[in-house]
Amino acid sequence: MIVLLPFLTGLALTGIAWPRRKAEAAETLLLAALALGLGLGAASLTFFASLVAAGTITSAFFVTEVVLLLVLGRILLARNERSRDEVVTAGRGRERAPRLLVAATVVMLGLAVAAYVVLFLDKPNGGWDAWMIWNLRARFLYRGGEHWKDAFSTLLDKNHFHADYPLLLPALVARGWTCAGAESRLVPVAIAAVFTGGTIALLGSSVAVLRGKTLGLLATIAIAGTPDFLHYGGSLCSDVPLAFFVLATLVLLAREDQESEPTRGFPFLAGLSAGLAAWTKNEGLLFLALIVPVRLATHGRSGLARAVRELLWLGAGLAAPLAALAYFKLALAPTNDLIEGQSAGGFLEKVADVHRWAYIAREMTIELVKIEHWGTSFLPVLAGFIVIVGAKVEPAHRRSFALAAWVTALLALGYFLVYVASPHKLEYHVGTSHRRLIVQLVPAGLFALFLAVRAPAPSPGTLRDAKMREPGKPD
Amino acid sequence: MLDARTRDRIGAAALTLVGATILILLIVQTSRSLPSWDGEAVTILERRLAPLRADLAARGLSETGKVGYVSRVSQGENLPGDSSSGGRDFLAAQYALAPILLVNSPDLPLVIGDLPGPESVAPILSANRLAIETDHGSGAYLLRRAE
Repeated sequence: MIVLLPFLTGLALTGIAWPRRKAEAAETLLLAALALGLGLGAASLTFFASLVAAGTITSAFFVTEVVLLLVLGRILLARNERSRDEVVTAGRGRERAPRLLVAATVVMLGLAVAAYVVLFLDKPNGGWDAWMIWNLRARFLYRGGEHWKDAFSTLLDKNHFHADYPLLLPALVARGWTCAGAESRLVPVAIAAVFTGGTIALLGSSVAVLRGKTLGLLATIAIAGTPDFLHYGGSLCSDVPLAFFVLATLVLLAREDQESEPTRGFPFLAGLSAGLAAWTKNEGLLFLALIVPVRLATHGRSGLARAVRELLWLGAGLAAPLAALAYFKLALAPTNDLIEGQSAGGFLEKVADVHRWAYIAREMTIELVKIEHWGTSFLPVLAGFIVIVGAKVEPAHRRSFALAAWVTALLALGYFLVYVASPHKLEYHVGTSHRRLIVQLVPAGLFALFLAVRAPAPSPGTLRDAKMREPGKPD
Repeated sequence: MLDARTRDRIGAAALTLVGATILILLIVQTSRSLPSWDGEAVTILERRLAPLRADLAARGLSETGKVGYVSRVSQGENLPGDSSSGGRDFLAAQYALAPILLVNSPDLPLVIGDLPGPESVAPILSANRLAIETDHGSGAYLLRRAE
């Protein structure tokens, strides 16, 4: 039960926010994937709030989670009593995907699971950052009793331990150990598997809902076949959870774009997800700073009233994670190493150094285009795929595509600029982080790409069926 | 010029075949060099330092406290500023001994000696004015300031 609590809370949250409809399988999977991630995010916030309030780990977090679930469940029941199911399906739920493609997707998912397991067995403690940053912090929270705030001690070297990094993952791991009653190695592994699988499910199902099952399956194949996504998923670090929340925010706003009337639920969940991105990693703060102005820009002047209303609900969703983050950053976290190591003169000197720009551009490009078993993505293959199949952004998806594409591009630009101004030795900083930064952008980038791919040509059978169908009669 | 359906099929086949090939290569190459479940470097170091953690806990250092750290390399090499080539032992020791704070210095009342290997530890102890409090074997020592 205690293991399922976050998922049930996530289901209740998404259930309240989602328009009451008879969902197709893809939409149900989309709901489940969002429920998993958002539920874990909510559990992390609850655990942290209980820790701050009680001063040590107590059963308060469990009681809070149960109360939260009961309250959300009551709201969900009340809402369901008030409204009836609308017989509406978003997107192209009725399209039938080719059987061969379904089989290929199953094979790819099987291979991805096998690769994930092998990568985990290769590093059962996770990657360097997993034990040095994330699980170390979880140990301070779990083992530290009343002294859990030692996790943010200035005695911990900030160039290595990064005690200012947000706490979504450490709080979740410490919560898992508390529930298990022991420091099981399987807890971080299970959390990482949920976020990795959840991101694959979220991308595949959201593309299926918005663009049809065929493209949904191809999106699943594309992300499952990205080795570094699996590598960093299995490394037990925070990059894939961050990628999940970035993607979830974009997907929720894209779902909002499909609604003729503005909703409260989608922007609320998008705000919650964007806030959880910032609660996961410092890079999430950059995402948070970008999402609102880019969303406003994609609305244009004509949609200003809707945009303002949407932003209010987005802000409401942001409130809880932002409050936790503000407390953490203002009351607990030491200064960030990138900021502390900066001086005005040094900053200007680095920004004016053309060689730094060229070096970063070269390293990032090499990582993006190389195809090998250890590559970040098979970008050249995706580029070839687009060239072969063609691109056409449908009017219904223009705003969603613009948001996803701009946010991905601006995040990449932001990461680039952080490198340019980095107080660390550039080769070291880029070399130890550029792969993970690209992985953070892969799901959002693939989402943008699959919003832009030309819709599959209908099969002859489908055309024949459409011609034979009587006008006005539902299929 | 290929029709749209043919192009769709080629695109889907290319995506699937390349993706599957990359994953198969990844699985084969990684599984050739898998460590045993308890044979990974961080696990080995944790196991070596486990008696030290118990020793510190017995001295009332279970939930908080700070201890120094010495190894066979210099303080600078224990915690290199901008290098991925060294420093793992100090970082892994902090991971193993958390929530005790490890200070990269011998100038504390209690100091962790992370000194595996056959070479004598005496020169390191005398250079840092340290004495052995407890020898936990495998190069794991609890040291104290020499009088």
